[in-house]
Amino acid sequence: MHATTTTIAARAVAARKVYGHGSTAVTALDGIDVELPAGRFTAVMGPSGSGKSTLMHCLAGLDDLTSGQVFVGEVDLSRLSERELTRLRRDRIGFVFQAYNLVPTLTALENITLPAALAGGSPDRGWLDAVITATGLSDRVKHRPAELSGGQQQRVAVARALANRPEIIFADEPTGNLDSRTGAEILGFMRQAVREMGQTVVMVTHDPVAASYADAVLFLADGQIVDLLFEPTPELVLDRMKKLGD
Amino acid sequence: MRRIALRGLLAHKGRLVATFLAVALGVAFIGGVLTLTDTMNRSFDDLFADVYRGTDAVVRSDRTMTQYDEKARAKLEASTLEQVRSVPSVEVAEGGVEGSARIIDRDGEPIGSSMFGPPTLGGNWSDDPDLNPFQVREGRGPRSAGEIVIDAATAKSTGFEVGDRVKVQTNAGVGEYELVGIAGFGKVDSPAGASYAFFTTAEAQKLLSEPDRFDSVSVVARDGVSQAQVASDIRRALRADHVDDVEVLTGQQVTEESQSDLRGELSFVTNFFLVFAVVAVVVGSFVIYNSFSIIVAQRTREMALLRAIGASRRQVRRAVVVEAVAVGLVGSAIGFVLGLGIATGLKGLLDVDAGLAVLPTAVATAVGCGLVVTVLSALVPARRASKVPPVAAMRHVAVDRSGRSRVRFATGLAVGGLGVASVVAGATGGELQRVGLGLIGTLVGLLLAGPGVARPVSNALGWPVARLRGITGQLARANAGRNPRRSASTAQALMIGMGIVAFFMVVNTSIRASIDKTLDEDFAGDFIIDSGGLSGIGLPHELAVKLGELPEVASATPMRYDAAELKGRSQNLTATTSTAFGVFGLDVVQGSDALDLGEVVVLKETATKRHLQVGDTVTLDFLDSGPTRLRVAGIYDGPEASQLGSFILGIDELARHVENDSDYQIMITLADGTAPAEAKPVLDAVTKPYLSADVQTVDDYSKSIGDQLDVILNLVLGLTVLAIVIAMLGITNTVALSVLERTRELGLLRAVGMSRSQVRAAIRWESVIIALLGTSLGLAFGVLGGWGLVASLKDDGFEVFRVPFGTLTGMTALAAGLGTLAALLPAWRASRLNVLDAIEEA
Repeated sequence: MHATTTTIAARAVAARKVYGHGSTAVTALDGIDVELPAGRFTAVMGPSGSGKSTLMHCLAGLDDLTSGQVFVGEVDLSRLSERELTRLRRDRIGFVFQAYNLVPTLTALENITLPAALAGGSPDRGWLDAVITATGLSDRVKHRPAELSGGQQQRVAVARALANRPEIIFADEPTGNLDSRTGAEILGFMRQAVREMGQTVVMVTHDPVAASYADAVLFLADGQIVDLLFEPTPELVLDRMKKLGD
Repeated sequence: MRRIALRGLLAHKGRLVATFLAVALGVAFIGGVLTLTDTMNRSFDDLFADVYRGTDAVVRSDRTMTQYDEKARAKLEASTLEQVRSVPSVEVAEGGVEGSARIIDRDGEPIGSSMFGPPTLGGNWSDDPDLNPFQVREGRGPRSAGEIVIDAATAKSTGFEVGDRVKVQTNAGVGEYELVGIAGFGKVDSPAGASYAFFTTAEAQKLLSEPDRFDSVSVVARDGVSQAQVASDIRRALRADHVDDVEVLTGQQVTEESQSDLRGELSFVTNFFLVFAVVAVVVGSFVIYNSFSIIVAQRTREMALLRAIGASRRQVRRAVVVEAVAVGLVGSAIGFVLGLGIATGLKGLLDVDAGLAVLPTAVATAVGCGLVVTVLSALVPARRASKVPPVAAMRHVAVDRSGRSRVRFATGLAVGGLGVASVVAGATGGELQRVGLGLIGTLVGLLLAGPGVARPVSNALGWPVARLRGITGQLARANAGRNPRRSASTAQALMIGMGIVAFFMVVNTSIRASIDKTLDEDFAGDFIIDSGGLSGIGLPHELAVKLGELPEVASATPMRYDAAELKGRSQNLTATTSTAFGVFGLDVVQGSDALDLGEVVVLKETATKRHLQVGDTVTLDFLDSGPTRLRVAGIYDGPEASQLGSFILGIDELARHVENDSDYQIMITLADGTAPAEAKPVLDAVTKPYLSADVQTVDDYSKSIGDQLDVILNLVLGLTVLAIVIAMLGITNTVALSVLERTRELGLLRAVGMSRSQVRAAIRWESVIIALLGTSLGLAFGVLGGWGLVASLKDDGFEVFRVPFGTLTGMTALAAGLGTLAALLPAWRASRLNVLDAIEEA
């Protein structure tokens, strides 16, 4: 970890998550301490069962820890009621899922402004236009998801994640269902959001090429952080992953 | 395949709860009505068997006439009794007299005044235990004219005891008697709750009939003589004595005739109820169809898999049908048991004594209906299931049905359009049949075009919701229109129930408005003196005379209604005085309005039809007095609604032919300058001794008719409630199953920050929009139907068409409320979804 004065967007302290009990208990997170710096693109990787998805779900307020704490900014998620958690997700966190990101009955624009509409308002007009332009959706905003390609749908998802100016954006395998060219587009948008718009993005992936777009890669195995790589390239990432396998 | 089907059924049995309930409720209604009818039939069968147990033969007149939908029979001469007694094989013969008699309770009120209560009867007492089904429990039978016996039930309810003085009201007036005995009917206190007052034969003849007349002669045969034998002996004897116009029935025949007459009357009521039961079942079929459609749609992958590994189309279809059969059987069985419970409850309410008669016909009909309806409703979804292509197991394939639905929509519009046109044509042309056919066409059109109509209408209805409720409302509106076919069939189930209610409300309001208009415009009377209900007892004629003599009264017009046959067909007659024409706004356009003896005044339309002119003779055949020639003295005409029928006689003329000397109503017009408020106390004072007289202003009268109509309306509403409940179940079902389908989407919404209460609200509003969709279509249909009926009957007195906008608005609000209620459970469950599980649903 860097000893710089960057702020921390989210962190976990001694985070443990255990499913089931007794002899059938599965430990997904085994006492993780991690700090995710603001204004950075961080990838989280690891074999299946490593706990990477669990870690993200807990950081995002979608799941709760068995013990330990999780913070978004200065807010301790374990202290929040279900309604407050929902509001946190709505106002301060952005999401991009692998698939089924959009509400089929709403237009692209309505999907993008969804979190703000849920709060009873609408996003800042100027910011909204910038996001739509940046994601290249200006001429597709009135279309329904069924009328958009897979790549366009993911772009709408990214735009939605950005539109409400969250503190942190979580992306769960955002390019998993896309071909490499469209995937690269999406990854490019996310990096642009970090570099030019000062957003924080945390992406779970198993794809070394996707991971190479990040500033840093966290490697998890058996519920623990086992490695950290800065300025990743696909080859370096692949290399580290092979080491994990041993 | 059967095992797969049944396992599949058990796996998602939760999804079929609403279907079970829909089947069960419909079957319960049918089974309950049928069982209750069977029970009441059996109870009355037993009753009549008891009444005629000791009777071997009955002699009575064979002349009958239909008077205002009831059969009246001529009476026998007293000499016939002597002739029957002289037949050797006759052991005992007694004459019977019967009529209406109301016992006055200790507060001075006649008992049994309600419209739907049991009859208040009077008759002559017989001490013969074979012929009299009543037995004295305390005291003895009446021996002189001043003595009476009453039934035990009335004695209990009024508190009268042997030795008390009791007043009884008959058409001859009110008399006071000494109570010398209280009688029971076998084990019960009175048969079917009817009240009885027994007099001596002579007194009964005086009050209820005529001296020297009997209604029938009942006979007990000598030991060893069969019923058939004694009957034929009597017949021969009477023929030998040249006694014509009589018939002799055996005790068995009389029993069977009474039983079947009652069955006939009961079946009229039963069929009325069954119509509503069928409506409930039809509504249920919508729910069943919808349910299976949704379930099949949700199991597309499973069906495709089965097809991919080699199941034939027929096998897949049959699997769904097997599920339907299972649901139908279990649902119907549960429903029938439920129906038995309902019948038992109703039996208690109506105070029917017999045990519940559960006949195989009732079971077979009810359960059969449920099963057949379930299977039929599931046939189309089953066929759809078999059409799933095997490749759908591998990837998501949308079945393109847009072509077929366009044809369906076009057909629906065409049929519906024709239907509406037919209604309009029938309404303006006065052809009720065409209106009826048109309504059927409109309904079919609505059902066919439903999906095409559903989206635009639900979008329109949802527009205010979307505007006022932000994203929650927007999502609700979009979801309501998402699957038009599903929304349409769900809404159509509610449309039926709401349509029925709206129709009856419109007709009710229009009838009342028409009556009010007639009373307003044509009726010149100030007060109406009514004889208080359908007890069969009227106002003694002296009351009309007394009222006519009052200074405050300009005219007191008595009204009587009877019937006579003209050329073999029964004609309803009105008997009154000549002031009636002015009171009812009628004109005697030819001839005289005097209504003297031997005269009759004919309605212009009838006169034209029968080629009658002033001076012609017309022969009317009266039940008691036979054919009578009357001179056509005048021809009258007037507004349709206030006409008094084809033939009008003078009171005195009718009195010659019918021995019942009482008026049904008296119309009072006040003298110039007398205010109604002044006159009322005077009228009240004069009518007070005539216990059943009810002094009503025109407004009172209109209101009391309205109240009677309301009873029918409320009955209809009550019967339709079940259909609406089932339709609401259908809405809950559709909403719940849709939520299941949208689990992933809900997970997404919750993840990006939709709160639980927002999720619930969205689902509730979706349900409300669907409920309003069904209600609005139903109201439109009901109003159209009501208008068609009223307009086509304009010439028969339905002058006013009025829509109860307030009530209809109330219905709409109620529907919205019910829609909210229907969504409560699915909404709550949807909000409780675990976000993570929902997002990750495979």
